[in-house]
Amino acid sequence: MITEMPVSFTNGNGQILTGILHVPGEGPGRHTGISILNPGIKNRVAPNRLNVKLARKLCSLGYPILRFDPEGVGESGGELPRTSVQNIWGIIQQGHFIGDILASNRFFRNKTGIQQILLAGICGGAISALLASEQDDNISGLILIDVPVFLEGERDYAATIVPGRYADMVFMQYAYKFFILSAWRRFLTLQTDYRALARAFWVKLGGTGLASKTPAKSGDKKISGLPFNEKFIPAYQKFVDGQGKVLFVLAENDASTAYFENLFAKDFLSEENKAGCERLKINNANHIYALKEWQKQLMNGVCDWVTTHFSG
Amino acid sequence: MVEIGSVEKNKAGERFFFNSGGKNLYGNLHYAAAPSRKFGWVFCDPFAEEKLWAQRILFNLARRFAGHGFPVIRFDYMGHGDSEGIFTDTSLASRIENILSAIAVMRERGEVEHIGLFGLRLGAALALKALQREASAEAVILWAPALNITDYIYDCLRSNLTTQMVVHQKVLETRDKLVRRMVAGETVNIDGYELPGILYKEGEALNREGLVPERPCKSFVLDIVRRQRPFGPDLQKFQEQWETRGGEIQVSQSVFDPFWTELRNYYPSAPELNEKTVAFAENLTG
Repeated sequence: MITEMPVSFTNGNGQILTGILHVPGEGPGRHTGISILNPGIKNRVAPNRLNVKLARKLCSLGYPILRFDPEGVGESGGELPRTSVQNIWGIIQQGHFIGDILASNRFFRNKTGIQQILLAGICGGAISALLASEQDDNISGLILIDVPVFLEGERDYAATIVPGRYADMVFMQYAYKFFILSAWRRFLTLQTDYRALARAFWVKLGGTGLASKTPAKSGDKKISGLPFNEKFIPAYQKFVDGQGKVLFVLAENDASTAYFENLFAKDFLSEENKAGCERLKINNANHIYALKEWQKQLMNGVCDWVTTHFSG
Repeated sequence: MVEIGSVEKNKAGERFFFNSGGKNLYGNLHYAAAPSRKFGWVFCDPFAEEKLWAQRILFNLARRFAGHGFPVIRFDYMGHGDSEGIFTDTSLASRIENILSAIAVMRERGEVEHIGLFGLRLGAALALKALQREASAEAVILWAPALNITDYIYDCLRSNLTTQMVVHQKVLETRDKLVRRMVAGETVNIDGYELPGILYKEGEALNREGLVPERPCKSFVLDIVRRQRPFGPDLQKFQEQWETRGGEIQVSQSVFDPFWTELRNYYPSAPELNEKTVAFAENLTG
């Protein structure tokens, strides 16, 4: 029988962080634990309880699971700044929660005796997992669900302009919609994402010349000042060079998927250099995997990957 | 079945699982700062994803209450948050049962002599229904209460229509069709939550029965609006019924973003809302 218990530990700022530890009952006695990180500003439960459902399913396979709230989120101490949600996403995408994740890993190991940890997360949880992996050698695998490869935030507008390749795609999409009546209805009834539209046109029309190119190869530094998250590739490269395994899960209808495929996967997940990485794309799914069938595919895909690569 | 783990305590409170109707519910008891007023508040959370969006503000309201000498218990209904159970198996009745269990836990662990209920949105309606069964509760605080349950469910169904637009680029099932499915006992997906059909019938029944108890206690209603406006007809009617039955009711309005939905701005707390609410609670204890 699975036991679930409230736990807490202290982070580097002296704040008490709270969580739930899922301990498997009788079973194979795994040496691998899985920490499922919170998505962005939402707590350890995640939208429609995705983290809870995933934790219970993985725990039923014999893996100890930790879910916790980082500082300022859920029931943990401290506060996030009172600002726009985009700005908070921006700081999370730059590693705001890394210290908390490292503290949680120490707690998880001490509490359960596991030898290796997998980090899993959706959206903000995914990018936090990747960035934290750079600083903890005991992380053996990453499950990155809809990981954002870009940086958000209301800093300088020019710095957040969409990169050229994505702008092309958005531009073509809107050009096509020019002939569709319902698209005009959405435009006139304020349902269009005017910001994305304006950015796409801005870049297509020459803008400030900031239309970017995707980094051509590992180590390419020509991505600063652009929305591509410059911490993404070094962290990814270090992790796979260290024999870490990565599962990317992508929801087809999530906005971040187009960015991921155009700005990262095309160059970094080609046949010749995708060692250790697998990609699971869930057709039609949205960002929160709202439908039962999407959730089922997500859960089964993650569980299959974990049991295949981390049976111990 | 999930086995109940140990109680986790720190100086601010304790976190544990407790039994309600055979399921283990997650609870967080916020200790009162000394001296305790011996008046415990049971928080009745809103519904589905609204609960997640509102969580931090309610957590900080609970800390504020505790800082003023009121112990608070926050908990997850069955099928919500960290609690046991599946959302599809829940009903309005199961949530009311869970509130009654949380009241019992507050009496057992909170060292209190008086009980009050706090509810947000659908949680406010559930608190009112729980009051009808737990007459010993002495006060109720309602934030942005959902006073017409079927209207509230209609609002929820909008998100299903939005998902249809994303997936199919058109609406395949209208709101009326979704309601018919619920009436037939099927589930309808809202933001990833499978709403059981029984909720609609229960909502209709609650609307027929009304939410005002026979002997109303002291109450404070906070109408949370984006822009100042007259109170809506449901709230006016509710206030009249409460007073007609001899209850004391204070109704106030605050301008604030609807923090139980996705917003452009992040709010860790709602100072003006907290201020008014704690002032009401303090007046109860003199």
